[in-house]
Amino acid sequence: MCLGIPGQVIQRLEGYGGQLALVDVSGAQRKINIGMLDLDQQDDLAPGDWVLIHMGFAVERTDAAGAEQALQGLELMGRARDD
Amino acid sequence: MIDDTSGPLLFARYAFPPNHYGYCGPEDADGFFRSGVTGDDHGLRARARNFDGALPHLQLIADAVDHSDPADILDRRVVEAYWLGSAVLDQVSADSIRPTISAAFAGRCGPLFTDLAQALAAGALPHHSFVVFCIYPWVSMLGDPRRTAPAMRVLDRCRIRSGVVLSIAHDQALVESAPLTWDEDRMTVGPVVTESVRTGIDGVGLTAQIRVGDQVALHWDWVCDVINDDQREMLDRYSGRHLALANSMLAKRRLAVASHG
Repeated sequence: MCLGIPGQVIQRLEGYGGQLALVDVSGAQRKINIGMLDLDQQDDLAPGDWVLIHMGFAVERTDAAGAEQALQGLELMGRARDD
Repeated sequence: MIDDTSGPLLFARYAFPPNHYGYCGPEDADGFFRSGVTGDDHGLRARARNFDGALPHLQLIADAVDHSDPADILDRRVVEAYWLGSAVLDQVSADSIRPTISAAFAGRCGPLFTDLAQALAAGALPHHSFVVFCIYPWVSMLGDPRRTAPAMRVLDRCRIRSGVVLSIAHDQALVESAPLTWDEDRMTVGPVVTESVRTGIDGVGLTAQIRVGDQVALHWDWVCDVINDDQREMLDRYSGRHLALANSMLAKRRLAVASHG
């Protein structure tokens, strides 16, 4: 369980109706399902694009600024509990 | 059983399944598992701090029940209240829940995410089911023909649910459990089905020995712990509270769409 984590698309993967992609999440490579995105957002998803990932699914397209904001949100929660 | 289990180990029993699948928590799921198996509370505490979604809730409960400074967020009472539910949750004041949860999550709830403020105003409590049904994005996808089935699958697996063990063999158990169902308007707990769940890896697990006939708590496709009738009642009570809140939000959304349509 956790909130959306930003990931950057490395490549689209074959199979599963074209709904799989390999993404970089903070340096780790993860295979995710992009089938919950709007169809037009799935179609043009390309290497370098950013998505927010939740439970193995991309739930939202974002950009570098949005990805940075999501990361800061996670870090902010970490700092708050350390205060 | 829970009674002689440390808070950090109890947390690990419930948090490991999504961590195992890479959904949240520390990167080294194997290390998290090893710390649990060996009873390394220090290692478990360090790794538990990576479960960002759970921490604000644990802190709220800890502040209400543990008056030491700082309050122990992995106190066993706190951990059990968060994952299963207990009367401890009723000691957490609404005045503390709203600002804490809003500060932690509201800024991260984009258009896909459910109306958090609505759930908070309606009496949400810092229980795992509140996170699943009222903070995460999946409920807001219900009703969309393309997204409903996978969203229901995630909601059902992500919530903590109970089951009864029918048989055990080779790191797997056959259990009877009642999955969530969707009737085009609302979610309900459906009729009992039989499913296969995991109990460990290569004969080793985080959970105390499981026997046929035991009542167990499940998370994703893993057995978390053996629970008694009182604990199952708590799980049903607090999960039902947040399931009802989510259904209420869905009904309001339908009304809003109808009034604009």
